Amino acid sequence: VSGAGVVRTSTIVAVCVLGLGACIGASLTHGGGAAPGGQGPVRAQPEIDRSRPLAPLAAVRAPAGFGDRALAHVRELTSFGPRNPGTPGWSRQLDYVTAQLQRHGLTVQRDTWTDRKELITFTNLSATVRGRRPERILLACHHDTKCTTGHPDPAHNFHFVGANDGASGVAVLLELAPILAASTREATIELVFFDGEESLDWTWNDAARALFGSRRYVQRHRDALLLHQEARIAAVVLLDMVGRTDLHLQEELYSTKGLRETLWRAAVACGHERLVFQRAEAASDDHKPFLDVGIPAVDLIDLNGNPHWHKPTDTIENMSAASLQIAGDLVLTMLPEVERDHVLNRN
Amino acid sequence: MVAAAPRRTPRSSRSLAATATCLVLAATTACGGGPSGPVDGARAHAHLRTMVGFGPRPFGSDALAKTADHITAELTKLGLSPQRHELVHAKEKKTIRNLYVQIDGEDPQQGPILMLAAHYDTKLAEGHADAKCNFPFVGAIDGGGAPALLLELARVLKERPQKPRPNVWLYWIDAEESVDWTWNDERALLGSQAFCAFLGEQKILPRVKAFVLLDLIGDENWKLDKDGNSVGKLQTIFLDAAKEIGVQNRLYEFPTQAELEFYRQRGVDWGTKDDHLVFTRHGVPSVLLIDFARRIPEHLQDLKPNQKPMLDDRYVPWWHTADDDLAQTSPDTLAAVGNLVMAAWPRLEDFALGKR
Repeated sequence: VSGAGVVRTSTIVAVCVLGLGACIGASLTHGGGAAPGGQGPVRAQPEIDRSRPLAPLAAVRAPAGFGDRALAHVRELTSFGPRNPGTPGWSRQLDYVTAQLQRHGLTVQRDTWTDRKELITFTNLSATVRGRRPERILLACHHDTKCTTGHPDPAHNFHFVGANDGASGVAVLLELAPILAASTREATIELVFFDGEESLDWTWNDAARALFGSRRYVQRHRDALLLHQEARIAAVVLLDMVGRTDLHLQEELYSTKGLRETLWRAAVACGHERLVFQRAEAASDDHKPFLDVGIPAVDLIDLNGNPHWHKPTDTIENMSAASLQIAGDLVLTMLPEVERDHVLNRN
Repeated sequence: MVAAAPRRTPRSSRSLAATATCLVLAATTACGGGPSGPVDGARAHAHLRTMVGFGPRPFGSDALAKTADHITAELTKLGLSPQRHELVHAKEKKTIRNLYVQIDGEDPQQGPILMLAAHYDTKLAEGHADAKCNFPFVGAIDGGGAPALLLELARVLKERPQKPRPNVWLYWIDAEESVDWTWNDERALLGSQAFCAFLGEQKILPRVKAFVLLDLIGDENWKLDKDGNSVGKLQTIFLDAAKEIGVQNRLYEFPTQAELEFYRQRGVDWGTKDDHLVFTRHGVPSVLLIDFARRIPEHLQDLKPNQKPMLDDRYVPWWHTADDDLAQTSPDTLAAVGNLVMAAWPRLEDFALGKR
């Protein structure tokens, strides 16, 4: 993922200054702090008024043990090592996710392709739980981890297993799978595991060298829509980094405002307000390609102020079952409302 | 597979036979050795030993997954970017792991592709109804030597001062072997079929201008057969290269003229079913370099009454037997076959560029 604008690595924002049009790189820490020179991060003002009462939602709790089981998935996935495309860990993860979904009677789709320019082979995985209507809500995450080899700066080359950044979203989706598979809804739910989310360059390189999986997914969806081969995607709920011990889900400012409100209402309903929207910042992530074509999307993300992001410390030791349980609560509480707003009341 | 067939040589007599063969061949080549060239047989053989060390490596096995990891790790060490094309085969319910890597040519994104490939899975030799088909099979030659050599060729090609003109793809093929003990078209060549379908979807296939397949490479007394399903021009390229480096006596002894006549009279096409056939069917000019003739033991030759087994004292019939082990292999063979490929290299590039 990337913070707002050109923000990336923990830290660089390119600010165009000087009359000659030169670009100066200025340092900016993720925590919402101001950059030297007084330049603040782009889009970091909260927009949801948390003091204004919104219509309450009914809390839907994740079942007991959800967080523990999700944490066990994280442990297993991180034991595979780095999981960027082409690595052994990536290969093991594809099989693991496939097998876990199949355990719950789900059929797993693999979409494998080679990016023309990068010559990297990626694989998205997905599984669908059919509802009474074909319109679908995507519950999504990325499964790849940041590539931490071969960068020119040696400080960017280290052993990285992405417990939070990669495995946490996968783990929560894997635990949501049996719950969703056992229930029948109006909307169809698709669990999607994107590949190639992470920027190939260490510093976030816009969309061109990142978000490969989601860009591919959106492109294929648009083609299929034109040919009437698929129903529309009603909304996307994306999970990225939802499991560290000191969880805080920022108000991600690219996300569709109505869905952000739904997330906040879910937090209130479940009593998790203190962990949600205390800070705000836009972050480029797999929801962006959907937003770009007008599909409502929300990103449950813990990037702002996350000290382990793209660090060797993003390990199982800094993860918590309680945080993963909270992520489960929030998604399950949001889901009926997302369904009402974006499927039932749209028809 | 369609093939001729040799007699099983008792293991104890093998070294004697090999020595005798070497003496005969010593006039043109060193015993078991190959011509000098950039390919380091010791390095290739080290890869082979690592692979064999994982044990039997049939499609879908953990040992094959480890082999895949070894290959990708070695390629990464070379500064290359190995890619995995993976899928769970719908019927077999096992993961196919095709591995490939590009060594950039003049136009990495759009340029023609010269592909060198070898299967790295080994024959499944357990769980068969016939107990004779169940034994520890490590496939040192069949599923070991060629993929190991391909790793060494990756090093040679990456470290060469001049970069290739076409893009070079090195491709390690999974699931070549028939899952059934007896060859079953429905359950063999699954990896290359999936890979070709993938390349077709990706619109990469039209860029693949030549496909060179290495299989059954590594026997200490090596030879290469003239496969009936290969493109003549590519076969000639290898023969010309062999003449230049003095190993032409290793090439194309089989099938013999008598065999070809035998097949011709019966209207049977001579040719080997292997992964190159999949590429051929997709319109890619292909060649198979294989040491297969006379390697099938008598008990695996489907002999009619009064039919003589096809064997040759010079060639140990290790195919799909426990004799296909490390002891049967030689670093010199890997070097020799690798250096043959490198001797043919400029012509292969020309072919891929449409200049031949």
